[in-house]
This record gives sequence, C-alpha cells and structure tokens, in this order.
Amino acid sequence: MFNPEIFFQVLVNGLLMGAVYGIAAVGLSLIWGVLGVVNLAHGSFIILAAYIAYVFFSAAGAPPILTSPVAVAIGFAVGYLLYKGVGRRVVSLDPSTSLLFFFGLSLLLSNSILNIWGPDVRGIPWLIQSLELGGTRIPLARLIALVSTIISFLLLYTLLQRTYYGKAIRAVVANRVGAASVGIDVDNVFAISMGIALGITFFSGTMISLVNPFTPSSGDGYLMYSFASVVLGGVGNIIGTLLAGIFMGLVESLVGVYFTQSISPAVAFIILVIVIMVRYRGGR
Amino acid sequence: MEAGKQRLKIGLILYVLLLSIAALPPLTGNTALIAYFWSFLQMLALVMSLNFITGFTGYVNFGHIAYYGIGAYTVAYLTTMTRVDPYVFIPAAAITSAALAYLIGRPILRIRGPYFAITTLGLGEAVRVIIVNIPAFNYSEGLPIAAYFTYNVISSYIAMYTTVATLFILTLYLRRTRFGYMLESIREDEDAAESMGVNTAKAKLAAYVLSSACAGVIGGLTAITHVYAHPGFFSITLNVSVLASLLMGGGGTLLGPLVGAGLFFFISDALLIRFPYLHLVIFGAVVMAVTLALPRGLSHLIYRYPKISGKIADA
Repeated sequence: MFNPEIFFQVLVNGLLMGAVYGIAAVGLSLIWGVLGVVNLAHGSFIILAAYIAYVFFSAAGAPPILTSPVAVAIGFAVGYLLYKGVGRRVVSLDPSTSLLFFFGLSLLLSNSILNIWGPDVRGIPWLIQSLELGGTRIPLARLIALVSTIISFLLLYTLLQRTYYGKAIRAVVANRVGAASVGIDVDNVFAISMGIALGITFFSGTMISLVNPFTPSSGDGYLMYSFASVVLGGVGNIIGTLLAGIFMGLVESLVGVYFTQSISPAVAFIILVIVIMVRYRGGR
Repeated sequence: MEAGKQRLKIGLILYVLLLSIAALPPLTGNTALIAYFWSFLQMLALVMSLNFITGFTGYVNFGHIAYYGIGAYTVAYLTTMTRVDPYVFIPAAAITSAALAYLIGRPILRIRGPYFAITTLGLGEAVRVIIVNIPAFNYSEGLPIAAYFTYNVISSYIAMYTTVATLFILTLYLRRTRFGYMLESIREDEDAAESMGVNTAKAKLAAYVLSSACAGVIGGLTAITHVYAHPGFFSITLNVSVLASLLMGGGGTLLGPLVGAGLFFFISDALLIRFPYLHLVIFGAVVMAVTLALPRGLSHLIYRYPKISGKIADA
C-alpha cells in the first residue's frame, strides 16, 4: 500500500542522512584522486572525530557544531603530519601494499578507540526535538547537520576553485607529471591535500556524532558507503561524490522502509558493483 | 643457485618439516596441543588458498571469507537436513563455493586494481546479510550441528592436515606449470599478458574458483570442528588477517604463506596473551611497519641476502 505521506518522510530522511554520507565520502575521494591511494582507515578517522565531539560534549557540554572547527584543525594536522612522516613511502608502494598499510592504521585507530572509550554505543543527545512541516517531521539536529554540511562544502569548494593550493591540487588530480613540469611542488601539494582531506573527514565525523549513535566499529559501515559514493560520483570529483552520498542516503532510507533496514549493506554492495561495471568498464 | 630457486628449496624444506612436526600432536593425545596446532593449520590453509588468487594474479581479495562462510553453512545446513555424518558434505561445500565463485567471479573479475579490492570488501558483508535474512539458516543464530554426529578432535585434525598437504601440492603445481605462469603474467602486466595470447579472463576465473573452493572446504571443516555455522564466519578481521599474512610473507610463492601465517599466528597469539586489550592496536602497528619496511613480503629478503639464504638452502 503506497502512502504519500510516508514516502515524503522517507525522502526527507534520506536527504538529511545522505548529505552527511556525502560529506563523509569527500575526504576519501580527495585522497584517492590526488595521491592515488585508497585510505582504508577512512571509517576509523570518521569515528575518531565522532568520539572527539563526544568528549567535548560530555566534558564541557559543547555541542558538536562548536567542536567541528576544532576537529577540522586536528584532522588537518593529522593528515599533514601523516604525509610528512610516512606518506611519501606509502604513495610509492604498489596499490595492494598501500591498502594493507591503511588497514593496519585502521586496526590501530579503531582498537585504540575501543580501549579508550569502551565498546558501548555512544550518542550526543543535543537538540533532540523535531520540526513539523505539513505532516513531515524534521529532526532539528539533522537539519543543523545538513546546513553545516552545505556551508562547509561550499567553503571547501571555494578553497579548491579560488586559492593557489586549491588550483595546484586540481592540477595534480588532472595530471601529476604535467603539474610537476610547470613548477608545482607535488610533494607539498600531497601533504596539504592529505591535511584538507582529513580535515573534512573529521568534520563529517562530528556531523555523524550529531545524527547517529556510534560504536568503535561503526567506521566499517561508513567506509563502505563512502567507497560506493566515491566510485559512483567519480574519484577526485568532490561534487559528484557529495551527490552520490545523497543518493546513497535516499536508497538506504527507501530500502529501510520498504524492505528491511538490515539488508542495506547488501544494497550498497550491489550498487557499487553495478556502477563499477557500467561506469568504469571494469576499473581500467 | 639463483635466489628464486633457493626460495623454492627453502620452502620445500620448511613444508616437509612442518608436515612432519604437525603429524606429532595427534599421537600425544593432548587435546589442547591438538587444538592449538589445528588453529595454526587452519590459518595456514586459508593463507595458502588465498595465495592462488591474490598471490599469483595480484588481485587483492577481501571477499575470501564469503566462500569460507558459504562452505560452513553448506555443511551445517545439509547435516541438519539429512542427519548424516558432516564429513560427507565437504565435497558439497567445495562445489557450492566453486559454483558461486564462478557466478560472482565472472562479473567482478572484470574489475581491476583498487576497484576490485573494494568490491570484494563489500562481498563478504553482502553474503552475510543475505544469510541472516534467510529463515532456513536460522537468521543470526546460525546452525548448530553437535546433535547429529560424534565429535572427534583427531579426525578434525587429520582433515585439516590433509587439506594443508593438498594445498601444498596445488601450490607446487602452480609454481611449475603453464597455468601458474599465466597467472603470474597477469600479476606483472595484464594487458601485456592478454596481447601475448594468454586468455586472462579464463585464467583468473579459474584461479578465483579454485581459491574459493578451497576456502569452502576450510569453512566446512571449521564448521565441523566448531560444531556450529554462524554469521561470525563472515569476519572481515579474519579476512584481513589472512590477507596481511599473505602479503607479509610474500604472495605468489611457496614459502610466503608459511612464513606469513607462522609469523602472524605466533605473534598475534603471543600478543593476545600478554596484551589482551591492546593486541590489535599493536598488530595494526606491526602491519604498518612491515608494509613500509618490506613491501614485497618477508620471503623477498632472500633476494637481498642471497649468500646467507644460499647457505640455508644447501645445509
């Protein structure tokens, strides 16, 4: 039985969650596009940022929206230093070995989180009220997450379009050798992109802490969704990645209501395979 | 003697040593010792079976446990249905895993590089959620089989031992035959291999089906030993441990899986005892360090120190 009211509610929920999934995938897209490596620790970084927001909230009562600039700064520092420390070596490895490196990092991070904060489900009960618009309920926290996601995405986009480093990053995505030959310091661009990418990833983690409960192992799910979004939207294409994330949110919401919530990972997987087959002709 | 042959020789010696030592525990009758060695043989078997696809062709496979779990469920389901001795269904586990690997492998093996790795990362999870939504498989509770046969630790040990011995022969076969060389040419340069007349699509599908069928057998044997098939079989941590062991040891070689699985098993065991909470943190750091220091795996050290390994091989 089709109920338009429920359908509309499902669309709104999908859009609200999708925006967060989209921004969560942008960092993965950027690192993959610029450095050519797949950051398997992406999900663990997202959850680490969610726990940072949790600490600020439980210790000082600071809502995630205020913590997010701090998280961006921490993320940038972590990314920049990670590249300066071992990044050059990791980028030179063959793809399967660099995947394994990031998997090691992911194990280290998610188990450190587990040891520090324990296995319990955490959440941030801030602004749990909802708005009601013509029969559709909009949770305030998710609405705020949507607005801050849009603002931060526009900031990132301007950064990449207008500033010198933004242009240098796009040049490296387009053609690494060409960029180096016109005098761009590719190594430095790598370090800064890694910083920006983890900055935005940490931002998305604070947004996730606002909209969903999380555990130390929640990162795996976000990693899969981010992969699907990046592949669907295009590696290194941040607008495409954001839109693909919104699409994933809509699909998850529809599947959750019309089938069952528990099969949504299988749906993400099927979308991923279809997209890779059709769009990349086998990833060549 | 050139380094590659030395490595093969060291590998042969170590496997013969291992298979002789591993024959001892059942004679002692010490159940704890048998169980400990069984776990090691199981890990080694998984690494050796993954070697066929990831080691030889270079296709990084995060979905190996999908077939391991399918094998476990095949054996457990058929046992609960027919109430016959579960060992009868090990061939069925191999056939089911092989058939599904054929169907799934045909589309996904067209995908290359990191895209393939990520696709397979979703595969295990996708199979798991499908299984826990099927009523016949008892949802997320799984299928216990203890009531249908008399469990015997010795026979489960012998079964895993035989599997390792079979995988050893299969690996030797791949190291020496045209089929193995075809797979290695795919790893080195797939387009070049294709243009030289290698039917790459057929060869990698064959390797994938072989590798998955072996995983199905190991899964089936594990279900018998644990007297239980459950969604925990689809463990991404197990898959990555197997993958990490293979890459640490060195893929596409005979020696690599043994070195990698041995190192992984004994290190993670020692860490687990000493640091029950932090062992995965330390293990993550070890994986990072190994990939940075020895990106081609430990067994590649032979190329770096040919003299020392020459002496080992001659001794």
